[in-house]
Amino acid sequence: MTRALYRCLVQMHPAAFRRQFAGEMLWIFEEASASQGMLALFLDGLLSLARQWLLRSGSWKIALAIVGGLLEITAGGLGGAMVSRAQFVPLLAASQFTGHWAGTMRVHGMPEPMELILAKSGATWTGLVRLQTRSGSTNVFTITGIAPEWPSLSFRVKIDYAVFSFQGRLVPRSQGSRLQGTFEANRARGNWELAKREKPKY
Amino acid sequence: MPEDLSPFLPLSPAVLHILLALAGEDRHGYGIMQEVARQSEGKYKLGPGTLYDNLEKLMNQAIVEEVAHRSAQDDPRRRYYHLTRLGRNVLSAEVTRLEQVVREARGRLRAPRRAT
Repeated sequence: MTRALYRCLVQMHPAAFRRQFAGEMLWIFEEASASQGMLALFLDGLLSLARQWLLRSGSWKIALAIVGGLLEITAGGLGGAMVSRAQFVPLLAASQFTGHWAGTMRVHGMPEPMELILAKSGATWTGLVRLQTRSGSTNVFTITGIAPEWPSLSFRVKIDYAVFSFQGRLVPRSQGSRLQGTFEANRARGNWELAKREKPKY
Repeated sequence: MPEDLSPFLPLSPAVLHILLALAGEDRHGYGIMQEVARQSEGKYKLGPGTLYDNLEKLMNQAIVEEVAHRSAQDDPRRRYYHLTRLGRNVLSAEVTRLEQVVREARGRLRAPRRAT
């Protein structure tokens, strides 16, 4: 009965965490329940559940971004200027824009899947970076200081303890329409290369 | 150029104990919990939720990594964890930081108290 309850508690953790650690957590529950006490293990499991959803999964950031986006749409209307002059000018002129790129970020030579989502509403740029870690979990980080001067792009993103500064450029369509760049932080340096996932909308 | 480890410091008590438990040898999750209890003479008990929540973070930071099973007799659910070179450097930096804290604290406690 208690094992089934603990299994339920473990199953409520984010999928990536569950896939990686659920088996071991249940095994330890069986081994340690006599020495540590059921109540202590359940409390510890509940705390872990809260930490995983609130601090690690980043789900609350996505929810916040959606709510923020809905508020902006409600306040600003759905209309977007359709301007088509030079290749990059529309992105600067449009009042609504979303772009989605996916690729890899290399830290110390290790490739990590990365997605970049940029959106513009009015004069405000917002963005998210999604990083898939080696353990399979996906973390979402909010971008600040977005400065697009197409084809150049720079922004900052705080990942765990470090603030990464990204400097990049959009590679012309003839060379694959990719975003390439470098990032620097106080303890890491590397490269990123992203391919356009879908046609930017503006 | 020496590595800047300051973004990792100070370590939380749970992380410090986990890294200390892995400093001597690779261990599975339950082994880490038992070693933490032994090191702290039973005063600090780590639960599996806290352990794996921190292990996930440490693996993402490349401070700890998973290593292959040791023997065929092992329970297949057991997974072993290893302190990386970066992890060893982080632990060493934290120990140095704690030594400075202890030195400072001892100096202040030895100094005569001024009347208020």
